[in-house]
Amino acid sequence: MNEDFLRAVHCVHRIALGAGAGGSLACILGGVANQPQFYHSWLVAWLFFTGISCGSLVIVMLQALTGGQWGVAVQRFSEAAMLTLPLMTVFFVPVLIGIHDLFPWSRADALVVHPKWEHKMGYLNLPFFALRGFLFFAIVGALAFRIRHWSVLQDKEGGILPGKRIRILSGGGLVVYVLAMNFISTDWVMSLAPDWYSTVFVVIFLAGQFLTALALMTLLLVVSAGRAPFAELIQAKHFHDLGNLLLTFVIFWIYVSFCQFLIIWSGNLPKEISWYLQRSASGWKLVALFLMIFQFLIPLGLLLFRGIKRKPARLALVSVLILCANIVNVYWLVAPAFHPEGVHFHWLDLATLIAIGGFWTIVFLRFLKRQPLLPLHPEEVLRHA
Amino acid sequence: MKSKLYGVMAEFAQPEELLQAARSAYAEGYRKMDAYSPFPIEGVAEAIGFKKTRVPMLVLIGGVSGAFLAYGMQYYSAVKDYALNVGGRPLHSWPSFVPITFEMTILCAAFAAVFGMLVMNGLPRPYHPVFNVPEFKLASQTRFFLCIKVTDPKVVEQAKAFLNSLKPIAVHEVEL
Repeated sequence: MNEDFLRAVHCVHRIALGAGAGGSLACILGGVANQPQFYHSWLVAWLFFTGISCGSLVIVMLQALTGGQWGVAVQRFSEAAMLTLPLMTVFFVPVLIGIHDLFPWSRADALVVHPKWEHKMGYLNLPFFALRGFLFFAIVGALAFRIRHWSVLQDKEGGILPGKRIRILSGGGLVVYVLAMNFISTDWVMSLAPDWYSTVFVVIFLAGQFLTALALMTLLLVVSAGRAPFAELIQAKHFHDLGNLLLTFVIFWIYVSFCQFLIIWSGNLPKEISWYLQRSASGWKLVALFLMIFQFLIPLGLLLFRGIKRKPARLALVSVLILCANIVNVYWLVAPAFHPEGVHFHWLDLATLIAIGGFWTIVFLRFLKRQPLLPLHPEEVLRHA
Repeated sequence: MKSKLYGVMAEFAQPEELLQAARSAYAEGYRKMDAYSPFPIEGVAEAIGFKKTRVPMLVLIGGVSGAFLAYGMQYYSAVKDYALNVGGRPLHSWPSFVPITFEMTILCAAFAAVFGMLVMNGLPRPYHPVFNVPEFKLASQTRFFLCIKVTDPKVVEQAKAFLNSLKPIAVHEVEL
């Protein structure tokens, strides 16, 4: 990493440190004052940043299997982002501590209020829930660190063996990841409403995570594109590829989201439609409309133009839009469970995002600084292909 | 009397030569020209002055009209023409209109892309003068051709001299 880049990293590091410290202080104060609200906000912010870490792992594994210069260009960024998974494991602990404020099935009187949940309790109970969560983090963490190990080895020693190993692990890893996500999305989001279930929900969840991670990677590449070692290697076509991928996943996200909605709306069964009724009651309807416009219509319209995909500054704006919309997306999936009466914005929602975002960025930069910003061998690929 | 000319054509053995020739021809001021090669060569389209295609606009128009057509048809039949109560839902139940609207958007956009491309390329075209040059059959095998469309006899000589200066394998006259 050269001087210019290091200065920028130090600057961001200081801001992140301030955000982490200030955010934590606010979280502690807010947590003391309003404990349930703290856990509600924490779950949203933690899910958002865990989504970026997991999405980055998918980007790395996908890149290993399919190739493509766009992936090489953002490889170090996505590697550093996936290595934040241990931090997210630590931040899983507050979710477990606050579980009674978050998940209705965990409350002592759950069976008294909802006797029908009795047969679900074999799955939905605190020890098993915690075990599944930690097991998931163990699996994705092991994948992330193993891939990183080989990726660094490839830089050091060259040869085709490390790359081959990464490909083999990524192939199996992606299958395991999607299967594990099935359980995790059920646990962390779907079980907020234990009566509700949807088999396509995991796909919506995955699409959102991938979209968020991809938007962040695009943004990072735009910010770094003018600096060495990117300056002479990154061309309009790399941004074009990333823009096309963003477009694809914007469409994919709305496609699967609408699939779920259409099926549940057609069936109109009390158990299923209640989830949407809650999410379209009073103010939540505006949030849903906001998502439709800002996570689908506007990015779709903008990303259709070559002129936007090939101009880094414009693509960065679309990425920021998608990132922000995805915070709202997670909020809309989770928060209506706590506030069915309508949108209930609390300053802790912002404070938890800033706190977790600060710590996430610190860990991210730490791993980013450790290795050259572009993989050594694919650098040749980028230049000549 | 010699028959009328469509243009003059230079034959090259290497793709790089064709690319170079196209660039110099453009620099020389020739605009009406076409390049032929057995496989796509990156940069040739730009070199002969090809900048923009109107196909994307056509696809957009196709897609948007497909969407309006599909939604309008469903709205008219379900709300106006044959209003039927299905499961107590409102007559204008937009979620159920979306899949067909989506499919029609894709269908019309795809049709606009394929047929628009064909029409704008002037296809189908049973006759093209370049095939009057016997060597042109190699354009799908091993040779690369640059054809400059000129009809004015004075300019023809100029163009021939220019193409000869590029050291091609041969320069052919393309009869109409």
